Amino acid sequence: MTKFSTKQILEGIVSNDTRVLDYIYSSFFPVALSFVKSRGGCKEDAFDVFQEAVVVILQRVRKSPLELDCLFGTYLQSVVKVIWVHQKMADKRRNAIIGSEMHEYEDIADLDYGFLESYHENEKSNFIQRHFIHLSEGCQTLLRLYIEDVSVREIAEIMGVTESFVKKKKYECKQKLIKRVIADAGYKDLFL
Amino acid sequence: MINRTDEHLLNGYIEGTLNQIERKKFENRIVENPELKQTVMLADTLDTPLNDWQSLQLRKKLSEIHERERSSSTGRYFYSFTKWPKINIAAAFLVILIGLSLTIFRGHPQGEDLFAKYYEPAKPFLMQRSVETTGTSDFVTAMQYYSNKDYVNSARILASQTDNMAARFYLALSMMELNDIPKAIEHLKVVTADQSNLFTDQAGWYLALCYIKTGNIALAKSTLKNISGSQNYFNDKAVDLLNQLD
Repeated sequence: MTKFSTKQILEGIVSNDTRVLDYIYSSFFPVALSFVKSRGGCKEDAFDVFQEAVVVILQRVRKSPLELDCLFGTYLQSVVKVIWVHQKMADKRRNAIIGSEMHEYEDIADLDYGFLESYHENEKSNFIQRHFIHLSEGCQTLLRLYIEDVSVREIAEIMGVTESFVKKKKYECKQKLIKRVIADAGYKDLFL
Repeated sequence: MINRTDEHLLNGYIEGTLNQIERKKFENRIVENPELKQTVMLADTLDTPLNDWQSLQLRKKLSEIHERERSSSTGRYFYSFTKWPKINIAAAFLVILIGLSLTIFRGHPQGEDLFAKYYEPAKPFLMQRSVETTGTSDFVTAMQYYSNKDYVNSARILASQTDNMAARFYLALSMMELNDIPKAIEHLKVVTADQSNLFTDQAGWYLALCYIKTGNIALAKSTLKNISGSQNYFNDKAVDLLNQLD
């Protein structure tokens, strides 16, 4: 597999380049997986945190140019750790468990305040997005067209259905998304 | 608990179609019903995250990669060679032997077979609203036909819009579906020659497949080499297909 420089990787994240994302996944996901597994998480937990880290890096890069003093993999791994710690803290608050393991992560947050800022700014938005991508393709398309201010008439035309069906479906899709978000254990911590 | 009346009002609230009385009634219900309040709060905040299409696309692509990796590791598990090694070695030897004899007696795999293996119809053009074509209602109608696999009608409409590269691209794909490969090649060549449109990469890939289907392996190879040496989305597939043609 082709190797990419840090600059190419950051550009590839912004342009959603499949080859770069394949490279990021195959090179760095195993490291995130082993970290999360060693802290009691499973493969899907690891992927959630890994995906979140890459999205946070995108949002950080969009704000201002990012100059890294370390390798991209090291940086990504730090972001993974911070997000994991953050989620663990939320879990612990919810479950009222006082653990000692959090102390070992305390120094990580000093690494880059830029991404922490992006992370906190986009936390609610990212939380909703994580659920959005699990809706059916039809719902995603419909809500996307709706957000883009495409008229109901035009959506109906594009999808080959009636306008009343579009309205009904749009409501159902929004409700599905809202239900998914509310059912997530992290919802109360973040939104209430 | 959100009852039917609440749902009706909530729908109207989301749509912005409530009159003054209904709106007042709904506001009272929000105060009385915490679940409804939560739902309304969330409904009001949905637009911002869904507007960040770049992050959403990144999430989707990473999820696809993860899914692909997950299914391939499942596959690897099922085809693991750790059990019954002698039988597996014998089977592998047999497969190599059959493969070698096929290569010797048949040359490279038949064009039709490779075409069938790699060809997938392009998804209909629905989301890319910023492109020049979206205002054309004929194009939208053609895309509906295309989505419904009614390629005769999609081709009929698209044939009158060949100045538009998106229309020409889908016309070529409709032709491929109708098995009129020479016509498809003709249109795909025009799309690939025009480097300024969004369909150049896809058109190149389908053009290579058309060449394979018609047995023109030399042209297929040169088209695939161009794809494999670029930042094209089909890069990996092109490399894979080239290896099979060699």
